[in-house]
Amino acid sequence: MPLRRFLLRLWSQSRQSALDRQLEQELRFHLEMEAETNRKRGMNATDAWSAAQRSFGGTEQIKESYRDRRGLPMVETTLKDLRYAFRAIRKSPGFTSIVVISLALGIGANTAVFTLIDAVMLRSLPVRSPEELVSVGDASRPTALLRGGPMANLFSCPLYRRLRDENHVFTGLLASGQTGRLDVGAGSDETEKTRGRLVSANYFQVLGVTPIVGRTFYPDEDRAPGISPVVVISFDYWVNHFGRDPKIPGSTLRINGSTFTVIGVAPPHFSGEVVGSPADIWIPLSMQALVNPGDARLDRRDTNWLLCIGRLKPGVSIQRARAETVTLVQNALVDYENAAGSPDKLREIRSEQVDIASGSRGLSWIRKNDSSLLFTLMAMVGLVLLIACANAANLLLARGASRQREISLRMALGAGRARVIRQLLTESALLAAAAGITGVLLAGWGSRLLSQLASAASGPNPIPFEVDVHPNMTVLGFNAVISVLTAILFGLAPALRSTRVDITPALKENARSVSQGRWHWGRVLVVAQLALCAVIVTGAGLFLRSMAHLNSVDVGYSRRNVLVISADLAGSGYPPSQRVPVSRRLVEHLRSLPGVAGVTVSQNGIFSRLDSSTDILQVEGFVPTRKDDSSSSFDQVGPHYFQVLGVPIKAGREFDERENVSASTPVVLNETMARFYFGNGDPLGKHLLNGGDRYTVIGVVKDMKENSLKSKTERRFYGPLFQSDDTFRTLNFEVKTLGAAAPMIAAIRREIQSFDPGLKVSGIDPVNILIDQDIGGDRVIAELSRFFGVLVLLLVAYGLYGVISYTTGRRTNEIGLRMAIGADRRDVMRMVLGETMMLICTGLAIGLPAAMAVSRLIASTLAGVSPNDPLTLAAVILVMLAVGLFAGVVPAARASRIDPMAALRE
Amino acid sequence: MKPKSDVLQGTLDLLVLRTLDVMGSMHGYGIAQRIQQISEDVLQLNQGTLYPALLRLEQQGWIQSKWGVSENNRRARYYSVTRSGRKQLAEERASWDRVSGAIKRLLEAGA
Repeated sequence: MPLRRFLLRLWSQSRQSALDRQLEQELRFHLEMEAETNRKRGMNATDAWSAAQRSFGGTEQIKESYRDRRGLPMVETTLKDLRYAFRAIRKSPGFTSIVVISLALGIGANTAVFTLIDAVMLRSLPVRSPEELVSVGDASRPTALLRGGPMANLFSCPLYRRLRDENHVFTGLLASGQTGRLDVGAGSDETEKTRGRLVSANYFQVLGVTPIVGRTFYPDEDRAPGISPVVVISFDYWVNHFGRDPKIPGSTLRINGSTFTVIGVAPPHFSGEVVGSPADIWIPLSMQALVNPGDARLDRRDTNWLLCIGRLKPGVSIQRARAETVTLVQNALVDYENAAGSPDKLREIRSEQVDIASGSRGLSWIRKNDSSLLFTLMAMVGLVLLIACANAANLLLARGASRQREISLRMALGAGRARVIRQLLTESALLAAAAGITGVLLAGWGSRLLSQLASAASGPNPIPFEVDVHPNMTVLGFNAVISVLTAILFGLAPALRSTRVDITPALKENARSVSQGRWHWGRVLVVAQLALCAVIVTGAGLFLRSMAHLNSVDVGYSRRNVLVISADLAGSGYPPSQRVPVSRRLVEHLRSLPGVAGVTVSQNGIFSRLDSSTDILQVEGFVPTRKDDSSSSFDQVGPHYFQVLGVPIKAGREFDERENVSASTPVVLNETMARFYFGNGDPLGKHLLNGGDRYTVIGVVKDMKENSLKSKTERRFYGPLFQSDDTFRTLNFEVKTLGAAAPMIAAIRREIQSFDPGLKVSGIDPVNILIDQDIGGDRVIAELSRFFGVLVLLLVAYGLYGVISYTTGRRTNEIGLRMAIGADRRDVMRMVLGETMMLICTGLAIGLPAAMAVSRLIASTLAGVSPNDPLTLAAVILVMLAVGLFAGVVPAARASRIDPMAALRE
Repeated sequence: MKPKSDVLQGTLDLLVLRTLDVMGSMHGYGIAQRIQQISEDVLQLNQGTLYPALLRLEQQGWIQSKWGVSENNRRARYYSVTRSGRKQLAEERASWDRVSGAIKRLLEAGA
């Protein structure tokens, strides 16, 4: 319909009555003129008038068709429907609030999870033409720092510079990397963590981000190391720390002991290229050595810590960019081998690949790590919404049945079926709209809560899960779409069902007579709800069992009273030669603290996400058959490490203060390793060769879980840390406390302060908290599935109760009759409860196989429980039966109290 | 919502437009009278259907209306054809001629 006509009609719509009067006048004029003509031809007044009317046709039909044409019938009837729907809904506030609340929870949960999925996986960076961006390197490792040799998928500074200068496919190529810990300002406020990125000077230019205050980096600001102590700060940081001071350029910040000048503020919404980990401060790469004292990486080819994002030149495909980048990286790696590389090594380099992918969504660790968590959640809340829909449909159906006479009456008066269906759908749409709006509010709160849970779930060097959860158009669109789908899903079937009536009997029908057929749909819906409910409750049961297993799994050491201190020795300015002596002194120092039972130290420690491994181990008396047979993980530990942790020593001894490493290094094996290499033989005194290092086994300790509760224990050996010639950059100190560990944290922090105020400690955490963080994702899932499980059980119990009490209510006559011919109260109760249980059993018969199929999909995320865990399934059956009993007992009791005489007379 | 169109309705449009084109400004009753007179009562107009048709033509922008005083001194609504109405009339007339000519030829060909 052309706009003009639409507007005309809309305008007419708005002045309905005036136009009606005009039409009335016009038609009356016509009739009177005709009548007058007739009179002139000799008719009497009455005949003239009726003849005029005859030749004119039905005035009311004409008016109606005129009105239809004049206005917008859609708008008009929709407005009418809405008005009517409002009235109908207001009349039953209890029904309305239950439907709206249950749907709002469903829609809200879906929107909340979708908000996170959108933020993590779908949304583009707020930069110029994000679709032109290409990520170069493994985009899931934006905070990685790997030393030891050149790599192809994570870049060193020299490799980045080469790529930047030699490529022909990008208009610009930026690089960014982690800063490590940043102490900003006075550095006394330890609770606040400032996050930054070290970035190439072309960072903002390549992204196309212009500052709102001041400037960004000049191209030469990453040319010479150390001469450009400037930073750009984020909008949020500017607001929170500088109160939007417009004269901020020129102010200074102390970062890790050096003074930096703020030159500009990034625009709002731009929080960097790492999704899930917003940056407060951007520092040019050239200043890396000042940010990480004692760790200059700018010219090191063996320190890999940068990822790149390039902007494609017009017309260049991502395939061409990939081909060229791979060649450039391989050439660089070959050059780094300095012709000394063996043919094998060169072949290996030539097979190296570089990840090149669309960079429009930035880099993200959480995208890879948490996507399965998000999708599990999405599936779960999707099911919850389905159940809420089925519930609402059931309630509507019940209401449709009680409104049968009203509907029949309207149809008898001439309303078409389509018209009545539209009216009923309007009511559903209104309910869904209310639920959708409530859902958006719930989702805002829910997605914040979820991202907090997920942040808390990450490890000891917390990997933040901070995403922008403000609802945007995508999220609101999603919400609108699922609200509409919801309305159709729960509204259509009841509307179709309740308008399919034979008018005459329905009007005559006594509202209380037996009508089985009508409830066919209701039963189907309840069974569907019960089946879906069985799936969710089974899932929740499995997650909770898995969680219980993880909580009780034997880690091999005391979970309760051990604290882990992680210290950054390199960052605190200790030269390599000083690091072991200072650790020795710190161990002694802490040991004297009251309440401390023992102190030791290790390189990797417990649940620190650090690990070391070798794959060239040769073991005396063992012939490897597979490549994997020569691999083992290892750690270097201080004296009495196992005693402090509380790990039993199975054979031999562990390290003490003085170990003799002159001829061969003493090592301790874990049981898995001892068994693998020596079977039942005695490992003590046996020799191992690790490259050029020679080891002698001095002991065997019980297996322990050091990095993950879920994976099975690996082969592992331990070497003496104090006798090592490694240059430990960071170390973990383990403190065994006499009482609970957590209350000792403050005292230990003070003690470290008094030992050396400059010693940087990135965390003092009780072991059980570190372990909890390792299984944080599982906990989030377990807690949420418990929440949704209970919610769904409540919904289903309510739905079931509704159906049962409705059907028994309508069967009052029949039950009265049964009682009149001899059934007693118990028989009636048994009958009603029996029917309830039939529904439950049908639901279980469909739901349990479905649950078993679904749980196979989540098997990989479960620990210590099989997807078909009989105990869980049994519990589900019991819970569902209990729900049936709970939902059925009230209507059953009510039915048993029916007075047969009253019921029959009715 | 698309207005239903059938042959009769289309013809009515043509008749109304032509009448107004010839007669200038007229009220609904006058139009009905005129159509019946000219067609010598061959076209039996169900007079009531005239008004929705007038509204449709007005919505299309082909005619316009204003209230005036009738020959017997009563308030009446007068319709007149607009410029785009004349264009439309020419088009409809041409197409009517084409179609009726074709039908005529077909009938006279005696096939």
